[in-house]
Amino acid sequence: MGTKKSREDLLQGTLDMLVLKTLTAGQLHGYAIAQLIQQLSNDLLCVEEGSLYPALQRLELNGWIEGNWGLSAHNRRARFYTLTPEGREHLEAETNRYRRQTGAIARIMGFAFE
Amino acid sequence: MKKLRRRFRYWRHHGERHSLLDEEMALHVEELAQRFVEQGMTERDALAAARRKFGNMTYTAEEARATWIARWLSDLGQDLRYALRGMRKDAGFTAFVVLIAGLGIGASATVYSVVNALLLRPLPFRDPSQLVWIANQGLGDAEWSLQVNHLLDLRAQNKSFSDLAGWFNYYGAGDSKLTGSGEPERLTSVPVTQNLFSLLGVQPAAGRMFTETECQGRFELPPVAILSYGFWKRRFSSDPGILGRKLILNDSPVLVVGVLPASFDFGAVFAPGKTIDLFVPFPLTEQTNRRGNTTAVVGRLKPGATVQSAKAEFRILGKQLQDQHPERNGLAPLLSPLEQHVSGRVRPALLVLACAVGVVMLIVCANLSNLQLARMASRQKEIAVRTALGAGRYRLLRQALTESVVLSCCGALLGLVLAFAGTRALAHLSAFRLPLLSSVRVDGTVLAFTLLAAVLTGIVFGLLPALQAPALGVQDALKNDSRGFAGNRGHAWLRSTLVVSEIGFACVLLVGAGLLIRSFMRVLDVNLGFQPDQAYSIRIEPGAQYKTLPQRDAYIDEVLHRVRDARGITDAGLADVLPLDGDRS
Repeated sequence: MGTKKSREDLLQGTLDMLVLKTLTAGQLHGYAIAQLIQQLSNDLLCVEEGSLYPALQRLELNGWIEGNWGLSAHNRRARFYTLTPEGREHLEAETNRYRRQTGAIARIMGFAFE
Repeated sequence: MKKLRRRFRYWRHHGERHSLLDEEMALHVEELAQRFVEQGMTERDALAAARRKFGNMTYTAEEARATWIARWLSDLGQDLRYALRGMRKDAGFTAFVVLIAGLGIGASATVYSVVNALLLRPLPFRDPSQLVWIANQGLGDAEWSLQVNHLLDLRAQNKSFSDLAGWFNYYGAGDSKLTGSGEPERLTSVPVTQNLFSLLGVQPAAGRMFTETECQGRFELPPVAILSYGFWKRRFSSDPGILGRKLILNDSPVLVVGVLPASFDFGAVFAPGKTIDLFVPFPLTEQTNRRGNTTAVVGRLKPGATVQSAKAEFRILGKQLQDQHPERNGLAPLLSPLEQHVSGRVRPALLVLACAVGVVMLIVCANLSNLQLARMASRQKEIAVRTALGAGRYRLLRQALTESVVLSCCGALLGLVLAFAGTRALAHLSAFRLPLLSSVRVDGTVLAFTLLAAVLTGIVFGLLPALQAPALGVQDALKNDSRGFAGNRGHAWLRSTLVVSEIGFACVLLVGAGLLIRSFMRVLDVNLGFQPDQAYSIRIEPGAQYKTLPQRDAYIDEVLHRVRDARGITDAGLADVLPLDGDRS
């Protein structure tokens, strides 16, 4: 139980950051966010729909993104998300944290202490 | 803070948000399908593939919603909605369950409010735990009153009590005669010592208490009186101008100095079944001392003193006083907490009553359990479908329990109505000589009790069927028709156990009630030595204008003569005390 939860947390944290990052380019709807993440990662990262929608709700609850209704490319009503100023701040903090973390991990994995 | 506000806004529009989320996810699936079509799939295959890729939409939606509303809360809402829908659909079943649970809960709430008023709630005085009832041990276990001089000496010499107070215990119902303005009326007045009300912690609602000098006069000629709230309201329609007015009581003027508060009901606490109209001073003088053991005594313990220590002190003190004053009546003080004195005698009877109602409640639960079991049997397919769709055993159990608790809560609503009616009826029953009966009512504790009873009943009667329901395999349930379930051996066993216990409980109740009624019949059958049926009594008294003994005799002869001549009366007689009334033997 415990291990399962911590793994989810890690994934959640990164997914939140990735969603916020994609939104810096402009407003997008759920499907487009998933597509963009997949494209930008050269199809390496595939966002599961099962976790995308809870993540969007969570981000909205925290006030980092805001959903508004607009028209999609196929002229359908869609919910477009934009980054709020608080969301931008949070993204910055998260980016820094991520950079430090991966840097540390990379140094260990690359045996930087030779 | 902002987060909470956003959350709140979401709750307010949760229905709308719900459909928005669904629409959003539907769009996602369509876009996915669109892409698959572009990759060369047929439309049908593309849609199916997109759905497969997206996964369980309901589950995802639930997960997403859980961000806003705690999962258990939304589950509860879902269960409640479902339970209510089921109840509407199964109106007959619902009506029965609500009726049965309502009767049971109503009965227990009523009995609980009696137990609460008599045993649990403290007496309506200041610091009632410090109040002690002081009696004089008579022959055997009899409790007698104290002589006035003994009271005075005990009050002066004891170290356990901050004060002792008392009242004349031989007042009779209707002893006082109110004449003068308005309809003449027989009243019940209690002569009390000057400090009784202050000792009990009762403040007058209007006016004042007795003064020291007002309590020095002649016993039969009280100069002043304090009215009880009920009498003030009934006779003078709560007129505040009554203070300072003179009433003609037993042919002599008495000044009204005060009115007691509604919360103080002397009769309810000390003289169950009697209504006390007014209070007059009880002078502690040689005149009243000569009347013998007439004073009922209550004491207030000093801080730190206990009933035990006071008992020890009074045993010695009583012996000393008896030795010093052989001319007085004997003295053997008997101390008990006032609460015990007031409700001690009815305690076992009330406990028996409470147990009886508990057994009734068990029968109710067994009955409802059986009904619920039968209903579950007819719903086994639905349960199997739920299990197949991924409902866990725990989730199913919770939903079944929610249903039964909702049912019993509806029953509790009916029960509350019954309890309100029951307590009202009980509080106005003056034929029962139970102390504090008039204060029986539905209050906060009774409401809390009812809620607890409702939830407990729901859990108790719902638990067995709920545990039993998913026991049958999903496949069997889906394959068999519903008759297979009812014939299931485990269920048959459970149901017969329930029926057997129901009958067992009912037998216990029946035998108990039968024995009780039998002893009651025997009490009624006791030969009194006279035949009370068709006999009536009325109290008469020659007025003050008949001064000499021959004049009074003539008055009484005349009354007897006229009564015998009246139509429908075969004979009339005279006695200064009625059989089984008063202790002149």
